[in-house]
Amino acid sequence: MVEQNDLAQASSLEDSVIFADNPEPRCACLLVLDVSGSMGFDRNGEVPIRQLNDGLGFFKSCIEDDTLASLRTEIGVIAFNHEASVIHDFSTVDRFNPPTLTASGGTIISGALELALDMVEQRKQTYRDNGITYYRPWVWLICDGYPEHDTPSDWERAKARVKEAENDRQLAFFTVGVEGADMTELDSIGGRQALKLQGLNFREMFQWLSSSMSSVSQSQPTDAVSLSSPEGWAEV
Amino acid sequence: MVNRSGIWAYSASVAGSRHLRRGVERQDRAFHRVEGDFAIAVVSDGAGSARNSALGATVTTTRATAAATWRMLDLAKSPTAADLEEVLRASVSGVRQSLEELSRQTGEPLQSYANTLLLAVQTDTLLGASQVGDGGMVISNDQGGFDCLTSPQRGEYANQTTFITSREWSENMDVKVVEAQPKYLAMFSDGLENLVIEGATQQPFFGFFNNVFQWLEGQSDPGRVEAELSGLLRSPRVTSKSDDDITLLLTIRR
Repeated sequence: MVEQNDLAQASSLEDSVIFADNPEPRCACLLVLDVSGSMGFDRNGEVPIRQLNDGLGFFKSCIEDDTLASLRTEIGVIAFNHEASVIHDFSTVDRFNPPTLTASGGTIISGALELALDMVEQRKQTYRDNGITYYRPWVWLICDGYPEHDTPSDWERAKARVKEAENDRQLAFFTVGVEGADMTELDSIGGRQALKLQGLNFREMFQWLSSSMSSVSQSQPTDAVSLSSPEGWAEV
Repeated sequence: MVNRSGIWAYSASVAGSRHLRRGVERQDRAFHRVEGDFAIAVVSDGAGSARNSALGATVTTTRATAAATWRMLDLAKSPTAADLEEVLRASVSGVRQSLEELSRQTGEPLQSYANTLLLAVQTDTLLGASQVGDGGMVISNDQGGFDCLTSPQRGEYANQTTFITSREWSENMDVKVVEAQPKYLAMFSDGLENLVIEGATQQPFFGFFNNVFQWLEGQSDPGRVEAELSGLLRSPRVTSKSDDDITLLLTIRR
């Protein structure tokens, strides 16, 4: 317990130094990634988890190409199978080390959703504590399955929380289904229709996401999140 | 008309690097007019995501200037603080009505013209200001420092603000009239806000405003002033911190 408190304080001190050094407004982008066993299955000679790992490195380089997006975008990563854990805390791209994910285990989505909502809320509080303005955080769920081992009540509760967070404009939630995903189940999360990844076009998807992050700062006359067409990586 | 006010105004407005990259036109606008013994200055920032916002910002700056000018000329005597407040409120209402009319005529949604408004009217005894949305106005004080005149309206998020086209525009309008003749006034769109207002305290950065106005004191050629201001707004020092359109309007009492 003592160690945890020490960690929290150390992290807070580090944050305050980072924010003093770079007071740009932040846009938190949380990737919630499925690492269940099926993500390791060969699909016509390609393995989703490998393409996803490649895409994460590519995402970093795309953001790095835009000076302001590099200062403003904070990437966080949650990985989930039957368990969910924070693989990478929110950080700007200079401190983002793309993880190498491995696939194993079953699928519980609700735990990952709950963790994602908590993580975003905590980050917003950190911004406020440090006098940093911020844009609406984005949560990006990528999944190739369905709530296989979720209890119905956990699944419903997590979805209700996401929907409430979306309705209260606490975040913008996006779902991407990889080949094999139950798109009907994924569609039922949040208020936005789930996008189906074309083949394993993770690179194209991350390039699009990076470009969307670059334009997130434009003023919005409505609460809607305006996006360019995901043509090229999603089945539209 | 002879400039009896002793007030001189200069402005520069440049397209942001994000707009240039995407071939999108500049959506910021600035307009100023010195008419006899009063001066009017307007800055408007068209919302990046609204398709007709550049036209909206043009309507806002020209209409606000015209409306405030005619109302000031209509006053039989030197305006009181209450008169000036009424001029500001009526001028902003006039802008809103013009945008509604434009929307009706074109069939385009009112929100597609979304833009913010900063309006200042200065006389020989008063300074009146109204603000709808973000951006800011800074004035010099008697102690040699600088103060924010109005407050930007913000939601939880950095890109969320009220626009003149918003349903709740009038509730969120900030109107202020002060009995003062500040030597310097600066008005700027939100593209410059992070660079000139300190985030935690929301106070103007003294160094920026002091340097800019000290430099302006030594200038006399309006063309040169505006060219130099544009150069500053396009310099890497500014563009490395902001990819948005940037507008800076300065007035000085000489």
